[in-house]
Amino acid sequence: MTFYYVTNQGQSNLSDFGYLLKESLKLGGWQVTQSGTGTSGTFSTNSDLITSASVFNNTNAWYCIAHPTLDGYRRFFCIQVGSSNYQFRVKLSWTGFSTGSPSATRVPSAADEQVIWGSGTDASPTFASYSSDTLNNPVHNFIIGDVSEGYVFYAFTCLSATGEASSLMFMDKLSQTHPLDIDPYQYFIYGTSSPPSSLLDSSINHSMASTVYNTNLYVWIRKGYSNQKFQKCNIGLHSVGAGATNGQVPIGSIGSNAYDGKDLSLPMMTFVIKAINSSLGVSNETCYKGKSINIRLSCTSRISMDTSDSNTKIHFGILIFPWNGTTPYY
Amino acid sequence: MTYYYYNSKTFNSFGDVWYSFKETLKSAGWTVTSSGTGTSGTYNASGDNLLSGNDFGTRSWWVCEHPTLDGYKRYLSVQITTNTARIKMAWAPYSSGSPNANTVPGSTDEKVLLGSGTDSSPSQNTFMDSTLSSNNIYISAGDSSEKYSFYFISFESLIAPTGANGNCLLGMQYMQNTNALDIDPYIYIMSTNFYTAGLFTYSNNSVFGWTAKGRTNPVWNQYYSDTFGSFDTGRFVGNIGNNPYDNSIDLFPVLFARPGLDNADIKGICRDMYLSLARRAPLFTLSVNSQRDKIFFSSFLLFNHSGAKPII
Repeated sequence: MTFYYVTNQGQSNLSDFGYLLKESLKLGGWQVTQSGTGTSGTFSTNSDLITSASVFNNTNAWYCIAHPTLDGYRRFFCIQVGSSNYQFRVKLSWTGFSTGSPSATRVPSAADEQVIWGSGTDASPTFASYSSDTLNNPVHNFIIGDVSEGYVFYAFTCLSATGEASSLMFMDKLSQTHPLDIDPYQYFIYGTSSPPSSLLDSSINHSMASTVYNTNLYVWIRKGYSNQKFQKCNIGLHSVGAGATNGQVPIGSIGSNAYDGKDLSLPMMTFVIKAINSSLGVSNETCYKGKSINIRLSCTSRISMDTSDSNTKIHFGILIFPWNGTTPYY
Repeated sequence: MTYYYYNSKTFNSFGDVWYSFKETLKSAGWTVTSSGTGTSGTYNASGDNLLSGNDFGTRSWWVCEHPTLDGYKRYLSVQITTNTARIKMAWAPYSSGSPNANTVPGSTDEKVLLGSGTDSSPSQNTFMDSTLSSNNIYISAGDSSEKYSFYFISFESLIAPTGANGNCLLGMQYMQNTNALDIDPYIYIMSTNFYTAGLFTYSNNSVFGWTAKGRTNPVWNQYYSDTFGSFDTGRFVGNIGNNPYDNSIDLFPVLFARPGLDNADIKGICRDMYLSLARRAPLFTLSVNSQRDKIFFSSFLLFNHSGAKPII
């Protein structure tokens, strides 16, 4: 069981998140399979040309990265930066990005690719703001799991002035998945470049637990079957009794342990429900996907970047991640 | 690992029903420590005078206890008049007060789960439908290995419960994943309308338990079940459907907790209770570890079952 922690990373270039993510993933064993250096640059179909943060800080620079074969499979991410260099377009694939017309400014394609951040096409990509612009001085943190952890990764960004959550991306492994489920993972990405706001933490929470807002949490259903589907899903908020809104009691309001005053937490369970997917034109698949192995939901009210449990846990919105004891800088 | 089960909808009297409940508990190891056969009846300060359903007169009663378990006993006091009851639980023995044929004893730390009033002037509340033939009774009692958990359910009607009567659930359920300092890892359930009113909701005061029992300031608190939901549309349980791989039904254990600044607590997970993501009609059974070992008592709430075909 090994996690690599890359903590308290400031930002010199607006695109630094993308470069830092790549370098952090490599610590866990991920390998860059292809890359392009952007406008007026070069590309390679088999190596990492993004040799520094400044190289990536170029419009339309990109890289593809994958973890080694695990249980017979690899997972590939393709990350491209836009002209506003805190904007990205992110794709996910199982088969690998081996088709299309890659160039210094154009990413390759994959038969099963899923665009999970941004939109458009490889030829005409649309980027979405992820990390904050420099005025808000974002601080990036990365938790990278090795093979024993299933190559999971958690990348979270807070604003240096307040510690408020601004961006989150992860590939998280689940337990309690069906024995026939060959992709026991969930994928999440959400970010904003908005100025500091008390709603940011809430936005992170809503982006994975709302059936009205467009969630950013994804899973595969029946991966490997002819009718496999890549679908948006929800975490199940723990509804303890009925509260003010549709029977929910905000998770943080359970409080601390009545015996010893320590923090309380509950498991993070992921469900695919009808409402969010039917509104997007996807057929109504529903299921229970699984329970996060590494992420828990906080029952005790905390602000983002608080640590607990003798600094072995760190809080981000309502989420709790494992932590290495480093004092978070913000 | 032994459970004792009882299911019937054929009785000669309400006394038969209460007798069956008492005897099922005794089968699981509980002992009747005192009893009374009701107004104008007899009183036994040390044993069981309720020898058949015919012995349950007006305000008849019994007190029973389970054997010492993990250093403690729990005591149950049940007083009935036909389909109504006043039910209490205690940690200390029922050794005080002025018991007689129609008056129960008292205990220093008793909690009234059903009914009100006092031991000398009790008020009993409805537990079963007043029409005897409308009651479908399910009882389960576990032995010491099952921590003496029990449930007693009176089902009024499968198709269209009228709601006002019946559909009561009395239970003492063992909890897992409790705090290591919790010396009473149980929840105590008394719901008089669990099918139509919904069990475990914030406004339905049905589930109780001790917080910090054994410490200097234990509190008898209401607990709430944990069902999953979103910010917007409420609960997922019963609304997700079958598993897309094999069409099976996914079951979840039920967590109980209580929010708030005072006495906030996650009690634990109820070992013998389950929530389903797919809805089924009440009394539908599932074969999870053995044939018909789980049974729906609402559209998404399940308990352990005997394996027998349910009487509907």
